[in-house]
Amino acid sequence: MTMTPEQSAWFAETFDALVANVGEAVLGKDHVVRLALTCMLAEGHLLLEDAPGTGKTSLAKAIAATVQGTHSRIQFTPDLLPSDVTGVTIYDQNTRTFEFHQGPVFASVVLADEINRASPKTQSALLEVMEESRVTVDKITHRVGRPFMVIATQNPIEQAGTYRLPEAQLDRFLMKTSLGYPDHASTVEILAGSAERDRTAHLVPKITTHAVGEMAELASTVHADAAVLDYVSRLVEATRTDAQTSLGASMRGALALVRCGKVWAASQGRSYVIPDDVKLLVEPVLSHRVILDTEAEFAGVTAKQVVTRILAETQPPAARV
Amino acid sequence: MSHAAPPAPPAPPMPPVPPAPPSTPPPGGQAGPPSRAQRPPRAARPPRTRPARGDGGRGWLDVAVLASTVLLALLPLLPVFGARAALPPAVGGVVLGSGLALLAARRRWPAMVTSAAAVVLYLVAGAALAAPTTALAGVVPTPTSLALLLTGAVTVWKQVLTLDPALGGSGNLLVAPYLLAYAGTVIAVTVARRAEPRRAGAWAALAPVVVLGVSVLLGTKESVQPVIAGILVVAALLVWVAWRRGTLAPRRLVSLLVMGAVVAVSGALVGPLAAEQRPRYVLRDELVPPFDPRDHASPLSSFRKFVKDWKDTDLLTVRGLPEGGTVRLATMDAFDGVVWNVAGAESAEGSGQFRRVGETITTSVRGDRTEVGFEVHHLPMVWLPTVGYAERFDFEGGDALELSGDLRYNDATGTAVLADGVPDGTSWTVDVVVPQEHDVETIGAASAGPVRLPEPAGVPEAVPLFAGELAGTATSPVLIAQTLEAGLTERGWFSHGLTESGDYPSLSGHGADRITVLLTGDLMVGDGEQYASAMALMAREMGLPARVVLGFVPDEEQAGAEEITITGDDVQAWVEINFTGYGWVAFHPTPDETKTPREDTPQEQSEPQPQVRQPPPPPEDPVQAPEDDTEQPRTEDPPPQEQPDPTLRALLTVAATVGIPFLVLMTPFVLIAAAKTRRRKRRRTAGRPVERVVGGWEELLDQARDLRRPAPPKATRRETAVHLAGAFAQTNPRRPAAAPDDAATRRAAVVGGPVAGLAAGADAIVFGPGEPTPEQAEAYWAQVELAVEAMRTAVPARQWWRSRWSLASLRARRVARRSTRRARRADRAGRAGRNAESAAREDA
Repeated sequence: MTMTPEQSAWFAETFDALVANVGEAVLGKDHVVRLALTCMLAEGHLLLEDAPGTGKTSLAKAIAATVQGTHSRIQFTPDLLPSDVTGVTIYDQNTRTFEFHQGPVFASVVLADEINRASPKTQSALLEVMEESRVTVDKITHRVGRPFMVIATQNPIEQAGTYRLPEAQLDRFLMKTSLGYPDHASTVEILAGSAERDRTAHLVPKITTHAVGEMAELASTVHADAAVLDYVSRLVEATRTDAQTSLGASMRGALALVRCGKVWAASQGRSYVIPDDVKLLVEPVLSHRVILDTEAEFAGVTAKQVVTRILAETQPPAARV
Repeated sequence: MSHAAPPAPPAPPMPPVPPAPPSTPPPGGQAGPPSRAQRPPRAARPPRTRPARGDGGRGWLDVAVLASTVLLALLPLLPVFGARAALPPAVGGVVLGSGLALLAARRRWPAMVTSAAAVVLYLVAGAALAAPTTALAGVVPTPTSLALLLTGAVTVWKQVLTLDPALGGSGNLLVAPYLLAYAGTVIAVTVARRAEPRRAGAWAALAPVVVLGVSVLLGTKESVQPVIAGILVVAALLVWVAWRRGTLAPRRLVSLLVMGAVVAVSGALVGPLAAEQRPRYVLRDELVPPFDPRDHASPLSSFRKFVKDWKDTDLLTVRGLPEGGTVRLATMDAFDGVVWNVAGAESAEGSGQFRRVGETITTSVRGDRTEVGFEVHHLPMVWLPTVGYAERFDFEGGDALELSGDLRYNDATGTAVLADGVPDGTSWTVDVVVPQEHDVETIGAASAGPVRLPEPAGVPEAVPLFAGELAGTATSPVLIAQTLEAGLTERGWFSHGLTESGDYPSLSGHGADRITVLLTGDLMVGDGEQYASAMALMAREMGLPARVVLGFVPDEEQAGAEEITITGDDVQAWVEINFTGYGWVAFHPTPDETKTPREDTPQEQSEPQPQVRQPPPPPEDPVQAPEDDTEQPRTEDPPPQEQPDPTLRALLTVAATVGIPFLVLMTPFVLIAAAKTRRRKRRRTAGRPVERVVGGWEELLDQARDLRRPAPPKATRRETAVHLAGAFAQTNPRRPAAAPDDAATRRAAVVGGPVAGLAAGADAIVFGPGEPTPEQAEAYWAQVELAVEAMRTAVPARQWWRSRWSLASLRARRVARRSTRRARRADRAGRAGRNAESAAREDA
């Protein structure tokens, strides 16, 4: 079953509407917004790594506000406990029963601010939820809703007293990207509206949680030709065999790339993935999954650079295989 | 080097001292000549090290190449003027021209000032270089020399063409090489030094080529100088232009050599075919139609006319004729069975050619020099009387120039003609060389001269018989000649055949039948016409190079006089035979005029013969005559039969000359076009529809690659489309313009739109679900054609044409194929290596 042209047109239209809505709060960052929404529709989680004050939280809040559903925010601190994330079972004296009080993670969009400040234990609790889409407390499993998207932010500076996310856990994030500072025109516009304390406050939801699920379903029907899959696998293999990496992208990374590629293609109104989609998504999807060789790391090479180089060295497909 | 007007310091006007100019060379090093604004003012000039030098090296090379090629291009003019005369104006012109152009470029004179300076310098220096005979002390210009230089610029060309080489340096003839050298270098160096942008300076190479063309056209048929000059000039200029345009690559030198070799080989193969029949074209031919003596009746046939009609007419007066000298009217060396005639230019080399003459004629004959004056009273023929071998003709009177333009001289036979006839009253003087006379003893055993003459045709059988009978025992060439001469004078009787005035009957003419009658008749009777013809034929039969001369021998009473008047009665014909080392020696086989037969002599005539030599030859049957009669029409007939032959051959030759090198040169282009067409067809029709669509996209990329706008490697189709739109925005892909203008944006849209559409279309078909239909593939190809057409409109026409013969796309495919093969092989090797490794591990 593949998408009909009407379906792909509807998908692209809706996607553009979402982008426009989020764009009202996050000015001049269309591309990152698109990436974030792609991540959501691919049912993955997003890691934003950026300097303070670049609008990470705004983006997360705007996405949460755009989707008609619940959203919560967890500010990670070193003393945050796993139960603060997942929820606790409390004995109700009136009913004499133990009652599960859902933690903030039970929401459609969860904003995990400064995730690297929490202890590994707490991080793991969140990451388990991310992977399993469920919470197990006292042997009772509680499912989180659908859609479920975690937008975690991480501060690359002020590393003292932080707990770096282990690679295995980084892998759980579908994408890692950064916002960067707004350009000049956007800066001026933001300053002009500085009286407004929270630009996301007046955003109205544009899509129901149900519709998000539908879109995700639809995106999974996008056709990915064998040549494109071959390209993806060649790229992933290249990260593994590259001289500057000690560990390449996992299978999970390859799957993520295809999933994202499908959503991205659908967002362009296409019912098939083209190498350009893959090319564009490789950096946000793969670069946080690559572990650099010690030598390369000392030489100041970043994972982003390595992935970009691999991308330039790999011949994209021009014909079917 | 003085700088009269240093430019005002360009930057701030306020400080009294101009800011120190930057002494470092301008960045890039390949900037044009230092502009006026950049040049340091005079005050701060001392460190004039780098800026001037950096460009100077290249500049001097430009000047050296252009000046020397102009000089080489003038090489074909050397034989026209003579090296001695032509070198000073040519070298002087080149030096002055490059000097002036350099000065003008350095001072940045505007065009008007440069032109004016060029004219002034031309006049000032021209007097010494081009018209030295009119200049004071050979150097200082006089009004005459200025006038000559000015008029010469216009008139000299015709004069050069109308005079026969070597022209020497008289008058203003040297204006031709001087002006060519001067103007050629002024233009070439000016263009090279001042062209903007610098690459445009390569057009300067046209100037030496034009000079070469003009000098070849003005030149002689001498083929050595033009060929050498042509090869050197073209080779030097090609390399220079390539260097100048910055595209000099060793690879190109090799291909240039290969092309040169191809042209040389095809030229060597075809050249002889063409050269045999068609001498090189020079303007000289066009202006002066060559004189063909065959258009005129045999001079010898008019012998009877002289002695009959003009017996007592004063034909001409000769002054200063050396004692024993004879006046030559015509020299005939071709016998066709009917008449002796003057051979045309196409015949054997010994016959020479009738050519225009310049100031002087070079002759290799040794002898006494003297000056002879002529005045014609009545001589209605084209043949101009001469004595010996002429070195210089000076016509007198008002129409002297016309006459000397009309004059053709054959230095091989010493014969002159006035193509339009000799008007009555013409008078002239000739500087002549009268060859020494050699007697039989001096000549001794000298062999027959190595002269090639036209083979006589239709020689009657009586001639060899009679010659054998007379000279069969002679031991040396000169003795043969002498025996033949003596035989005829002793056996023969003299008669002009003018029966009205009481002569013994003797027919006129000197054809085969008449000679047969002469040699085999009862009575050998005739006059100079018959005896000279008979002896020449006999001598030729004996292997001696002989020719017949018609001329005048003065009466005995007049011999030695200062002024001799010649009448028709003085006409005579004799024979000249060439001996190695002695040249042409005259023999007079005609019996003495007083030795006339009487009516009753036939019987007596037979008696002296046995007394002198052997018994008379057995009488030949008069059957001979009819045979000769049949020969006569034959001599008329052959030409029409041969006529289609030369035309056809000429056509074939021209076709071969043009066609074979053309074909050889075209072969690569045809092969390239065929390879591309084949590739295109295969892409469009072979394989599944998906593959055809991919092929359509590849065709588009190859088209772009041939237009020198290759797609970036490892790019997707959409990226390629964006790149191509940018590439086609530039008219020259190698030198991108700094700022895109409207035209560039338009070009980018013209190409970028269709190409982007094609990229998306190919992606949709290739990566989309399902299999496309053949119709979709065909529709895609139609769009490919539209996009290719869009590319064509976006690039200059020159680039489009070049792209059609470009090998870039073919070469790129080959490289791609090779690298895939190599990768596959490496892959296989790697796998084998790994297998071996694992096997080894298992073993361990």
